[in-house]
Formats: sequence, structure tokens, C-alpha cells
Amino acid sequence: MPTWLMLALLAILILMPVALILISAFSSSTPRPGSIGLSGLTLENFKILSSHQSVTALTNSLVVATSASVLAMFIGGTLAFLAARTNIWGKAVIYFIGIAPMFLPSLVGALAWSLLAGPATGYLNLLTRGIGLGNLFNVYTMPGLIFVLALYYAPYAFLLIHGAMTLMNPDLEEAASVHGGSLGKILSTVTFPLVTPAILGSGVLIFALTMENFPVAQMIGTPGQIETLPTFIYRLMNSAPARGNEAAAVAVVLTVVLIAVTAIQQRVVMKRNFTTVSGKGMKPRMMDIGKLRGVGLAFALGYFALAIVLPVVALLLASLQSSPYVSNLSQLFGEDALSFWSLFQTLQSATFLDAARNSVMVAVCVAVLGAALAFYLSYIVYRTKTPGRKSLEFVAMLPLAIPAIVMGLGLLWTWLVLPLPVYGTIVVLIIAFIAIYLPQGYRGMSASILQVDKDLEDSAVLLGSTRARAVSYVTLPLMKTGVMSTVLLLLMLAMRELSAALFLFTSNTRLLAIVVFDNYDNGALRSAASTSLLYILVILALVVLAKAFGARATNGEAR
Amino acid sequence: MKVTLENIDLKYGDTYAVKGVNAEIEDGHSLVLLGKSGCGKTSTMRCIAGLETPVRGRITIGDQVVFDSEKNINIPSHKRNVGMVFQSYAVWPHRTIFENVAFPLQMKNLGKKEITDRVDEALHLVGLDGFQKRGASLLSGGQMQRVALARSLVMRPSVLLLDEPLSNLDARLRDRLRIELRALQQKLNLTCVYVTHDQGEALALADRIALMQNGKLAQVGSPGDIYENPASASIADFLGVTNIFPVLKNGHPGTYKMAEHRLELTTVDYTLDGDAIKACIRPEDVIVSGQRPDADSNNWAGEVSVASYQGSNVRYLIELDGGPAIEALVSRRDGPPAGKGNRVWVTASPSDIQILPAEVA
Ligand SMILES: Nc1ncnc2c1ncn2[C@@H]1O[C@H](COP(=O)(O)OP(=O)(O)O)[C@@H](O)[C@H]1O
Ligand SMILES: [Mg+2]
Repeated sequence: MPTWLMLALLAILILMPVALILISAFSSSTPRPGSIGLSGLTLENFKILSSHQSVTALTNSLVVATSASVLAMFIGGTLAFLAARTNIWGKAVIYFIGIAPMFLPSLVGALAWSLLAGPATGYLNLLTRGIGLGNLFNVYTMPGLIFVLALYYAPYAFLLIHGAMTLMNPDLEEAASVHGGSLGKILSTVTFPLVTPAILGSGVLIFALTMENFPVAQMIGTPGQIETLPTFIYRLMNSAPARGNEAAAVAVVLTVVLIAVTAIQQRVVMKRNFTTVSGKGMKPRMMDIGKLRGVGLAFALGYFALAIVLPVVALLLASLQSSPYVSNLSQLFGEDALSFWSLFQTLQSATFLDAARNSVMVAVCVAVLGAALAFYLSYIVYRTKTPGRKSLEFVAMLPLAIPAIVMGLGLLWTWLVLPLPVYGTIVVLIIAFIAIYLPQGYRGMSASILQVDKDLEDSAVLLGSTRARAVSYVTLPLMKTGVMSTVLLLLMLAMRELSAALFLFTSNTRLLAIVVFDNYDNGALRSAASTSLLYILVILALVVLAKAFGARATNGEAR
Repeated sequence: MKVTLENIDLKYGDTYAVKGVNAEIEDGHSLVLLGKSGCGKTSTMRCIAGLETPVRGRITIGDQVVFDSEKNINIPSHKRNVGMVFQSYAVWPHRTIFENVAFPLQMKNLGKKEITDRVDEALHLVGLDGFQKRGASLLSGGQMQRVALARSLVMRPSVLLLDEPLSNLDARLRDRLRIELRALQQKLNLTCVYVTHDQGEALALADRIALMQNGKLAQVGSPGDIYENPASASIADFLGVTNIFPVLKNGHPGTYKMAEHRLELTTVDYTLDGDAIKACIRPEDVIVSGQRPDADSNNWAGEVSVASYQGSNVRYLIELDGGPAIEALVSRRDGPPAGKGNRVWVTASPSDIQILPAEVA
């Protein structure tokens, strides 16, 4: 495939949606089939930014994202330190606890927490009421929103910081120790300064992720009347008639904030490359933290309970309870109070089966096609001297700075305008997810291609093979682990995605995430809970299958 | 086969890595590209292999023009029949040794039997008989080097390129492989281009040496030529001449004056003039004695500041009175070594002092 074709592909995948958002923000009409809506240029749409709602949404977004990322960093960082650098018991378990919540979509986590800590009927409130303490919990509040976001973004912090901590050259710390540093001194003068760039980098990343998060904000924030920018955009699009131009204007603001934040992150991550010394076969020193081991273990188990155990129990109860309303815990222990009827009902329903089939099909296609595209791009950028390869890289990384919900909007307009019979089919979802996750795929592939010495491939060419043959005989087999990890990562991300699909699905192309979200929106909590449980099982099954194909754990970063 | 490079220019971005390189390698000869790290040796070699595309020039292998910027000829690497041993060896870690070495033959679609025979033969040549089934990731540096060599030899290349093939090995192994490589090259009558930054290696392996500086060939000649008559002081410096002093013509015919000291040097050759000329004296040509010798020129007193025993030789650093420090390499046979602080006399024959321009013009 020649480079110009690749450029054209990226232009349609990424540049056109972005351009359409920009155009709509400055126009009085939105793109339609046959028109990109470039009539009537105006600044009118930006008036909405000075409205009370916009200002509140922006403030809420900033407050929520800042607090949630600080809390997530604390949780993830502590777990990473425990697992990577201390003599705590059961490190493998701590590692598992650190990444396990990744397999639970934040959408499902939010649903579970509204079941657990909804103001009157949450299971935790039933419990405290049962023992005479009254209603103690209300998750539909600012702290509740921050808490749930932090729970489900802590694993990203965990992965990044864990990576930096295990890659650290032990000689650096040993040198400090030889020169007379105590444990505390070593930590404060060598260890933490060395991982600071990684910590800052992941902090900014999590800020961006929580800032653009739609599902949690919608499911926890909206009932509590806390609006953030993504939910504001969604509401504008869903009002009748849809206020697309104003939504685009808000989207531009959200994107500008995220581009600024991402730019900072890229700089910090660049610096990180110089500071962490990676070494093969070096074992980092394990620190003896003595009595703190118990505290650490309790912390990890507590997090596990909050992020996984309680939510899964809540989902189970909600899908098993026979009566939709429970006002007293004792009702759950009565005769016939629990039954598998609803779960089986869901399992057999056409809605679930169609959505499961769609989700799996989309995820597999996104993983395979996305990985292939990402490989080809990385190859052009890192292995050829094609002019303009740096701009290819720039475009490929662009979606990183664009919120998924905004990309979804842009992709909606793109495929409405383009004269291809794609809109309304499952293909548009595949295209959208490939576009949104191209940065993750590209990053995984290029990290992996950079680890394979170019000489290895060149020597095959000198020995008489064509370039393509050399790639398949030498480069790809040596990249196997990296390729499989990238495929698995894309599979997981596509399986979980909701925001980008919101504007693109139709009644025939619903995904599991959409079904859960719709059920919740319509108040069908039992159905939402049973679908969620099955959703988790489908994800787990996919992971197990993919691993059987040879992929290692998602040790790549999600963003 | 004979290889010719004509006016090769190679650019990375806006900077020239190779500029105006002309070289000719006779069939069956070895040319060593010698120069400091970063001077463009690897780049030149990659041009011959077709891994880099020069912006100008012509490259001929045998009677085939493989690159010509004017005629737009650029034969791709895999059709040039050029063997190359990479500095990193580039042995494929996920394949066995047999698979590594058989690869070029499979690319030529040879029969199974012929492939097996030729792989065995190549492995025998490099001393790895019986290693066929081993995985390549478990080899030592020296063994990898041999596999890389066998993999290139097996294709019977028109020209074999070797990029610092010994630089990753320890000193003893390096010495042994240096001799083996030269023997193999002569036995197989291979046309070789060999890259190194080590002058000892260059002298041992070359039929001709091409000295590279800043992307250009500064001097080309036989090892003896280059060693005896370096074209500039910086080349002399690179070849291990440690006594290099800036000098000026001082009026008396046959003598130069040190630019930074008042000492005079008598030389045989008295043509160069200017402010960028230097006197070069090899440490082994500096004579050290306890008494004042009866030579009537180049006769200086001084004090030993460092004496370092090196087995068969002693290396001295001597501070000349009113002059620079000079290094001398004295054979153990020439009497008991002087110690630090001893007063000594230093002389050098006028014919051993070379007056050279600082750089090649
Ligand atoms: N792929 C490349 N891109 C840009 N510059 C390069 C590249 N390869 C080499 N260079 C630069 O070209 C010059 C010559 O490099 P090289 O031929 O590798 O030197 P040598 O082999 O003599 O050490 C150096 O300054 C080096 O930094
Ligand atoms: Mg080199």
C-alpha cells in the first residue's frame, strides 16, 4: 500500500471527523448526506459557552477529573509500589488486584455502585438501615462520582507506575546504599525522583481519561444533577431538535482542554524515556517494609472488595432478586426471594444474543484490523524514509487528545456525508473504534518494532530475500509478543467502549455496552444487572481465548 | 569481484554523512575503511549494500552498475549478491543456526541436498561443525560472529562487507579471529570491505587502507604507506603517533621552531610552511640515554615524569627543559629502566621527524 493511500485512509478515519466538528462549531447547520454544513458561518454557537450550564459543566469536569486522578494515582501508585518493590506477601495476588478492575467496564462499575449506594434502595443503605444506622450512603454526589471514577482508573496508574518501578536499574539504589543511605533516604533521593516522570505522566493521562469519561458521569452524575462536559454534549445532541452545532462548540472546548493536557503528558513521557534506565534481566531490590506489610495487604484487599467483590455481589443480587423492589435486606433471604429466572431470561433473549454477537464481532475486527493498520503505520514511520512519515504519526496519535464522545459525533457526521452505505451498519462501529484506538495500537506496535534491531531485517534482504519476505520471516516473528499484546489490548478496549458508539448504533447494531446503558436509562435495573454479569463473562472468555492464542497480559499502556 | 565507488555523496536529512568518496577494490583484495567513530564508515558500506541511497555517484560491482544517480539505476539490496556481517551480527535469535545459514540458499530456491551440503561446508569453514541444530539465541559473541560470517559466505558473495566484526569481542578472541579472518579471505580469494576504528586491526587485515575523516577519504594506500607516510598530523595522531607539536619555520634552513616553546627541531624535509604545520615523532623513534649523546642536533635534556613498565618495553613521559613533554618507547634490552625524577637526555634522528600539515587539505 503506497503512502498516499495510507494518508487518505487516515484522513477519512481521523481528520475528516475532526474537521466536521470544527466546521459545525462555526456553522448554523450540521452535516447531512450531500452537505457538510458549511453554510452560514457564525460564532453564534459559542454563546452557549457563557451560559450557566456550560460554566458549571466545565467546573464540574475539572473538579471531578482532578480529584479522581489524584485518588486513582494514590491507589494505583501504592499498589504498584507494594507489588514491584516490597517484600509483601503474595505479590502475584497484588498484581492481579492492581489490574483486575480493567476487565470490568467503568459502565458496569457505575451501574453496580448505583445499586450498592443509591440513596434509598442501595444495598449498603439497606444494610446500615437494618442495623439501625439509617441511610449512610449516597453515590449520586460529587464525592461519589469521584470515588467511582478513581476505582476504575486506578489500574491505569498501577500499570504505568509498576512498569517504571520494575525497570529501574538496581545499581542506582545499591550505589546510594553503599554510600551510606538509609532505606528512607534511598526512597526519597533515588527511587521516587526516578519514577516521578512516570508518575506525573500517568497522572496527566488519568486526568484526561476521567475528564472525557461519559458512562460514569452519566450514570452517577446525572441522577445527582452533576453535569460534566461529556454529559452536556450528550444532552445537547439528545434534545429535540438536536442542538448539534452547540454540541460541537462545547466539544471544541473539551478537546482544547484535553489537547493541552495531552501535550503536557507527551512532554513528561518524553522525559521519562531518558530517566528510567531499562535493563534486561535486572531484578529490582525488594524493600523490607516490616509491619507495614499487613497494612499494605489490607489496603489491597480493601480496594479489591470495593472495585470487584462488592460490585459483582450487587450485580448478582440485582439480577437474582425476584421482586424488583427491595426495601429491607431480610427480603432477600425469604423463600423464593432469589432466582436465576431473570439471568436465564436475559441469556436467551434476542437482545442479549444479538448484542453479544455484535460486540464480539466488532471487538475481533477492531483488534485484528486495527493491529494490522498500526503495524503498517509503525513500519512506515520507523523503518522507511518516506517523506511525511512524521505527519502520519501525528495524525495517528491525534485521537488521543480527542474525547471519544466527540470523535463519535464527528464520525457520525463523516459517515452521514460520505456516499458509502456504511452508516447504520456494524461496519461504522468497527471503523469508529479503529479510529479511536489507533493511538493505543500504534504505540504498542511501534514500541515493539523498535525493540527489533533493524539489522536483523536488513541482513535477510542482503541475503537475497525481498523486503516483504524479510518482514514476515524475521521482523514479525520477533515481534510476536508485542503484536499479541496489542491485539489483546485493542480487543479489551473495543469490548468496553460505549461513548463512541452512542451516536453510531442503530437498533440492529446494538452492543453489550449499549444494552446495559439503555436498560439503566429506562430504569430496567434487573435486566441491566444480568446483562452486565454476562457482559463480564464474555470479556473474560475473550481474554482467556486470546491468551490461549499466545498473548501476554496487557502490559502495554491503555492510552 | 572488483568494486568501484565513484563520487559517492550520502545525506541524512540535511547533513552529509559521506562526501565525494572514490575507491576501487581489486578482485580478491580487501579494503579497510579506517576512521574514528561517526566518520561515515558504516554509511559508506551501507551504500555498497544498497541499504542507503546516495544522493550522487556511481557504484559498480564486477561489471554491473548497481547504483548510478545520473542514470537512475538502483538495484535493490537483495539482488546485489553482497554479503554483510553487521556490527550487531544480526543473527536471527528465533531460528536455528542451520536456518540462519541456509536462508540465502533458500532464497535462491536451491535443492535440499545442495543446501545441506553448502551449509555444512560453510559451518566447517568458520569452525562450527555440528552446530546446525542449535538455537541461535544461546550462542556466545564469538560464535554469533562465526554464524554471521558463515551466513554471508554460503551465498558466495560478489563482495563481503564486515562492519567492525571484532569490536564486541574480548581482546584475546579478537587477536585470534583477526588472523583467521585474514586467512579465510586470502584462501577464498574474497573481495572484502572491512570497517574498523582500530588501527592494529586495519594494518593486519588490509591490502589497502582507506582512511576516513568527516565523511571523506583522507588518504588511501597500502598499510605500509599509510603507517610510514601519514598525510596529515591528525592521521598520524590516529595511527598512534603521540608526539605531535605545532611548529613554525624559523629562518635557518633545515630547522623548525616549536610554536609554544623555544626548542628547535632539525629535520630532513624542509618544504612546508605556514601556521598549521606540526612535527610528528613516533615514541619508538625517541632515543633516551643517561649521558649527553654526541649528536649535534635534536638534543634535549629533561626529567622522567612517568615510567610505565610494559613487559618488553618501557614507556616514558619526559618533561623537556623549557619544552613540552615527550613520550618515548624504549626496549627492555636498552639497559635498566630509568625511574621517575631521573635526569635523562633525549634525541631523535632528523629523518624520524615528520613535518605534516595539521589536516589534509
Ligand atoms: N540513520 C541515520 N540517520 C541520521 N544520521 C545518521 C544515521 N546513521 C548515521 N548517521 C550519522 O552519520 C554519521 C556517520 O555515521 P556512521 O556511518 O554510522 O559512522 P561510523 O560507522 O564511521 O561510526 C554520524 O554522524 C551519524 O551520527
Ligand atoms: Mg559504524
